[in-house]
Amino acid sequence: MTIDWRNDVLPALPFIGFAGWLLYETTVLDVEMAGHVGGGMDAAGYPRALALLIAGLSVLVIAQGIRGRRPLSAGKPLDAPPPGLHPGIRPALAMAAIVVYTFIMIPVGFLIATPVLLAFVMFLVGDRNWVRIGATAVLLTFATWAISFFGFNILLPEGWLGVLTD
Amino acid sequence: MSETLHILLDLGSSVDWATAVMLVFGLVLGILIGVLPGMGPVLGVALAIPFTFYIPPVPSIALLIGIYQGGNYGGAITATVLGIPGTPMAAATLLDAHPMALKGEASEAVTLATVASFFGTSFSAIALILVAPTLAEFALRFGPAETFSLALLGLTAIASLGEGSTVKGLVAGLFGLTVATIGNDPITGLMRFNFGLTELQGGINLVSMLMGIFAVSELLIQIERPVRAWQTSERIGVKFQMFRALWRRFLGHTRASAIGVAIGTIPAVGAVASSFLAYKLAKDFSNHPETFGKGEPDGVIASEAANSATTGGAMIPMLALGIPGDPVVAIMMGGLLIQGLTPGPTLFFTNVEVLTGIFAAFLVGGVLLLPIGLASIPIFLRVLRTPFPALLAGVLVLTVIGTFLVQQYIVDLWQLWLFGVIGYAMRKTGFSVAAASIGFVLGPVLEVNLRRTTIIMSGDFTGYILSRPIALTILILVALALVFPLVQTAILNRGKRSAAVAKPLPGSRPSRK
Repeated sequence: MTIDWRNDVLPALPFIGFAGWLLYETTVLDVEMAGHVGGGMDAAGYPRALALLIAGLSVLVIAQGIRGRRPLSAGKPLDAPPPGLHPGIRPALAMAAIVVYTFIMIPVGFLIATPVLLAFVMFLVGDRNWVRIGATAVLLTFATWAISFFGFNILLPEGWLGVLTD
Repeated sequence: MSETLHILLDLGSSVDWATAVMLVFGLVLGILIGVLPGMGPVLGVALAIPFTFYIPPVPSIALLIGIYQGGNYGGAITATVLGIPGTPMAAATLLDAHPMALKGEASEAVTLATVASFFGTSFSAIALILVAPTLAEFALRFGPAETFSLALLGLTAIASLGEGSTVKGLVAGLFGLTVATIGNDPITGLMRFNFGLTELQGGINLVSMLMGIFAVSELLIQIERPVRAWQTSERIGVKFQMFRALWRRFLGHTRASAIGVAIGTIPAVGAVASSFLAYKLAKDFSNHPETFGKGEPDGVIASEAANSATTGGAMIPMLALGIPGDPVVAIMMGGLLIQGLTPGPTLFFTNVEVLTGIFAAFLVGGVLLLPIGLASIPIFLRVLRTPFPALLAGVLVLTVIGTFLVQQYIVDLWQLWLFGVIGYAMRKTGFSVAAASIGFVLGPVLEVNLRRTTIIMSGDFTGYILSRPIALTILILVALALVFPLVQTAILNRGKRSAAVAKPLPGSRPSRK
């Protein structure tokens, strides 16, 4: 018997956790205060039903993974990993950069934070031409700033550049 | 039928300058997105959604329609020139378009694909205009039970008939339904699952959810496995003599387009299936089927006409019933909701002028696809040479700006990234993001009508459902949609086991019967 941990068992566990959390939350909803309209399913009943279905079907996914309906490819030679970073690291680094960007976008400003993020992502996916990276990041940032300001009349966060307009 | 006549009479006056400009812009953008491998109309429509906030309803929907139609066609250019489908729906086109290019007939192949796309899109526009109002009129008889059953059918079909495991598709769809419960309860106003945040009182931001689960997840997948720019030295022109295919192969065009429209109306089946089915039928009906796969023009015509015709077919259930037929149409439905328009039968009576504008935009878009497609081929071939990191950066900044512009709330960006990570994890593990997004879009409709049904039936489910034959029929279809993949898998597995048993052992003599 083979167990498909990666595709079935491990991904289903968060859904079971989510269903458990949802079930708990439905028990603390103040349905009585909101009022129960003429019988039938109330405001907590519907999400409760969804939680039970998610939990049940997730257990089924795990059961399918344990039954081993798809055998692991243990007998096949592995492809040589691509040079440089492991592929799974790149999205993680990109998300880390995006999280930092979202925290700093308002205090630092869109026009400063965005080219840095874009340059980092371009470097991450393999571009090593710094002139092209810099030019592309700056041009894209200013183009989108111009579209939002002149096209939609929305001023994006000024951040540090706000002292210039004060 | 009187509603159809009314719409037809108003079509001519429904396309103003703003709508025409947005339609052309959408077509150009859609073709560009279709040409670039890994992009596709789903991403294009998702990126355009936030910008529709600032545009009136008809021009904004025209923009989305243009991207949808152009995106479905654009993949054929890449399929012909590079031998890889620019979009999944161009996979069948590649079978004969690329061999034609290898024989030095690239211009002929691209021209044929463009003409076939024009025919298929225009055909489906006419079908949309004729069928949707009639279907909407019928749907006016629906009560809460029928509406709930229909929403359930749309969700179940996407979850079970789409790619991947049925059970995983259902889990994804249920997850989408659950996310839609965040915020005020639609019936009693009770606040649910908002984590104490006032910004979530109205629920999860539709734009953040759709952009995150489609665009950001795609970005993360592209970042994980980056590709280089595509290189091509082909010089492609227009071969006007290929236009003769329109009347010399009229039957082939019509058959493929009809298949596209029919398949498009069925939720979850989609343009890939319609293009392969039309290709197979074209081969079956051909006098020389052995030429298919080696550069046969009928193969290009069948697949392109069918995949383009699917666009109109998929719009029929969305506009008439409020049930999206595929992920692109689900996002377009989000675009209508943003404009305060609720897709479904009542739209045909409360916002006829908007609906007429949508129909006219679809028809005009189909016609404009021909000149715009042909004129833009050399330009888009140059775009293929753009370095991939620059393209990725462009999509990233558009995603950020599109989401932030909606309300200028940072919490919308956090939702965007959260659903992006969730979408990425789902795609890596075989859970359908299409089912999750459709669950989110259909969630409010499904919940309100289910709860109204439970109020009306007063505990007597069996008696109530038996008194609603339309709802009962739809629920039977739901059950069939759930059971069909299981039966199909069992039959396939039995066939494999029989083939393994029938194969003689090495060295043994085959038995005589």
